Amino acid sequence: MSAVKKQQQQPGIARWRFALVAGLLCLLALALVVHLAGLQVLPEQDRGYRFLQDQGRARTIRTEEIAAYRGSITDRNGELLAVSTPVQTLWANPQLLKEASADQLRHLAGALDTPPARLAKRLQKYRNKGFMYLRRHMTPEQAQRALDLDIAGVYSKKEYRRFYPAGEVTAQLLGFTNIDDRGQEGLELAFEQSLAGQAGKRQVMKDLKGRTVQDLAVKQEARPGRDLQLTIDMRLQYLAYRELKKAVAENGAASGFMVILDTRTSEVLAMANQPSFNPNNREGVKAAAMRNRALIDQFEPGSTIKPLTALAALETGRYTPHTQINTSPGYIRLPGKTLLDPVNYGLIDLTKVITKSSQVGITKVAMDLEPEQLRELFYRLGLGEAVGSGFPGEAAGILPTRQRWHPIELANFAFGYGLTVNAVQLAQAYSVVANAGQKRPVSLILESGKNARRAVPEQVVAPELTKEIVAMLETVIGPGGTGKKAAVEGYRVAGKTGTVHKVGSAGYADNRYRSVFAGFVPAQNPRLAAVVVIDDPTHAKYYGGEVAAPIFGKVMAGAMRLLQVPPEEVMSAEQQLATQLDERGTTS
Amino acid sequence: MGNKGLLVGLWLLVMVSALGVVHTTQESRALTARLEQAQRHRDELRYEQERLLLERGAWSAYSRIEQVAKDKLDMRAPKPAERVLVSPEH
Repeated sequence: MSAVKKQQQQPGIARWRFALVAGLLCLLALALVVHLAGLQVLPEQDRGYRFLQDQGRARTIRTEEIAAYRGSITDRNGELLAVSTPVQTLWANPQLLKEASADQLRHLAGALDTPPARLAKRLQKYRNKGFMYLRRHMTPEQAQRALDLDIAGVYSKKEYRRFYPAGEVTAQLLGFTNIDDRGQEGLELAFEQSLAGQAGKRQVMKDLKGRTVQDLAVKQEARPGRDLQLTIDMRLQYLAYRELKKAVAENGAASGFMVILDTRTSEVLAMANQPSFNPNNREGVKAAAMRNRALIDQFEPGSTIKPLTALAALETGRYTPHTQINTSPGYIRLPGKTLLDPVNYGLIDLTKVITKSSQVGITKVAMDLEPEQLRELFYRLGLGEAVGSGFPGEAAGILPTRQRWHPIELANFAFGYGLTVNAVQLAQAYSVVANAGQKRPVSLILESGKNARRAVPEQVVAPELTKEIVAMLETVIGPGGTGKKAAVEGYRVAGKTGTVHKVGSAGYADNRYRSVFAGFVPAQNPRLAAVVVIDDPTHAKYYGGEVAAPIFGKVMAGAMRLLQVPPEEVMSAEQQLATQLDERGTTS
Repeated sequence: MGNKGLLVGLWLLVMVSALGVVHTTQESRALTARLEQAQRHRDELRYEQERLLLERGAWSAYSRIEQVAKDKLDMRAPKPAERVLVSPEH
C-alpha cells in the first residue's frame, strides 16, 4: 500500500517540478520575445532596429559609380581625333591577398606580366593598406586572365584611356590627358571642363555573390562629357603636316610650323608642328616636341610685315602702288646702323619694293610715316593681341609702343623686327588683307546650328587699299619676285617671303635664320590664308623664298584640289573640247 | 465563431499578401539583374562601335590611303592641264 502511495506521490512531486521548469522556460522564452520585440519595435532601444537595419544595409547596399565618358574630339567633318576607350585596371586588397599561396602569386604575376619578385616587394610595401593597384590600363582580355585565377582580394575596375587615331599629326594641338583621363596639355586642357564627364553615383542592393538585385536610388546623375568639334580639316592638316615634316628634315631645321585659315570665316583649318610626338605613347618625349608652336611661339615676322607697312603708307593717301622711291645707292644710313639691299635697285615704285623686298625702300617709306600710325594699323590687323583661341599658353605677341621713336626702331618696325607675333596672328592679318579689309575673330572650335555665333566682321581697312596690296603681293610670286616657289599651278597666289635673323646669345645671329612665308590663294577670290615658318634651317638654303615658300605652294596645291576650288587658269570643258577638235583638224 | 472565421480569413489573406511580396521582390530582383545585364551589353556594344570606328580610322588614315593609291593602284593627282572644268551653269 505504502509502495503504491509512494508511486502515486512521485508524479505529484514531478508535476510540481515540471510546472516550475516549464514556467521558467516560458518566462525565458517570453523574456526573449520581449527583448526581440523591443529590438524590432522600440526606436530608442540600444542596438535596436535602427542599428540592426544599418548593419544589414552595410552588408548589402553599395554605392556604385555610373561611368561618364570623356567627350570625344573630332575634326570639322566628324573624323575622330581623340576618343576614350575603356580599359581594365586591376587592384587588390593586400589584406586578403596575403592569404594567397605562393603558387597563386606566381600565376598572378604571370598574368600581370611582372616579375614575381617585384610583385612580392610591392605586396610587402602595401601590406598594411587596404588598396593597391596591381596594374592599370590593361586590355579587357588581359585583365580577364588575371581575374580567372580566382584569387581572393583581386578586383578589376573600369577606367578610360585616351586614344588619338591621328597620332603625331595633331599631337600638339589636341594635347593629351594623364592616366586618370584628365586634360594636361593643349585643347584637352583648355576644354577640360566641358570634355570631362562627371561620374554619377547610384545606390544598389547586392546579393551574396555581388550581383545587383535592386536599384535603390540615383544619388547623383552622371554627366557625360560633351564632344568637341574642331574647325580643323584633317585632310589639310595631314597635308600640311606631311610637307612640313619633309621640309624640316630636308633643310636640317630645328622646327617648323604652319597654320591655314579659311579667309571667309577665320576658322583654323590646319595647325601643324614639327618636331612632333606620338600622343598614344609618350615615353621619352621631349617637352620641345609637345609645344604647339603655331600658337605658343612668338617670333619676329621680318619681311612678311612689309606689305602691312605698305598698307599704312597707302592709308596716308600720300602713296599709291606706283609712287617712286629712290633706293640708290642700295643702302641707307640711320643713326647707329646702315641698312643694305643685296643690289642697288635704283628708282623703283612701291610695288617693286614689296616684290624685291627692298630694305632701303621700305625704310624710306617708314621714315615718312608717323610711328603710331604704323603701330595702330598693326594693332587693327590683330597683332599684339591674343587671338582668343583659349589655347593654354597662347602668345599675344609684343607690339611695343614708345614715347619717342628712334629712327632705327621705326625702320625695324617697318620690316618686322622689334615686334613679335604668333603664326595665327600673322595668318589673321593676311586674311584681313585677303578678305577686303574685314576682320573676323579666329576660331578653333566649330560652332554649328543654333549655337553658331556668326561674328559680325569688322571692317578694319578700306577694301580699295587691300585690293592694291593684293596686287602687290601677287608680284612677289610673279617673275622677279622673291616667292616664285610658292606658285600653285592653275591659281594666282598672293604672298610675301621673310628671312629673319634669329636672336642668339649675343644679339641677332649672323648665320641663324627663320624662313617665313605668308600668303593666300586664290589671289582674287581668296579661300585660304596660310603662314609657314621654318626655324633654323642648317643646310645651304635659308631664304624664306627657298625654304618656306615651296611648302606653301605644295600644301596649297593639294588644298585647292581637296576643297575643289575651281582653278582660275584652266580652260572650261567647251574650250578644251574646241582646242582638241582644232588639233585634230590640223593633224588630219 | 464568426469572429474566428474572420480572423482566419484575414490571416490567410495576410499570408497570401506576404508571399506575394516575396514573389514580386524576387521577380523585381531578377528583372534588375537582367536590366543590368542589358546595360552592360549596351556598354559593350558602344565600346565595340568605338573600337570599330578607331579601326576604320586606322585603315582610312590619309597616309595609308596615299600609300595604297600610289604604290598599289598607281594613281596620281591629275596635272592642271589634264583637268576639265565643268561649271554648273552649263
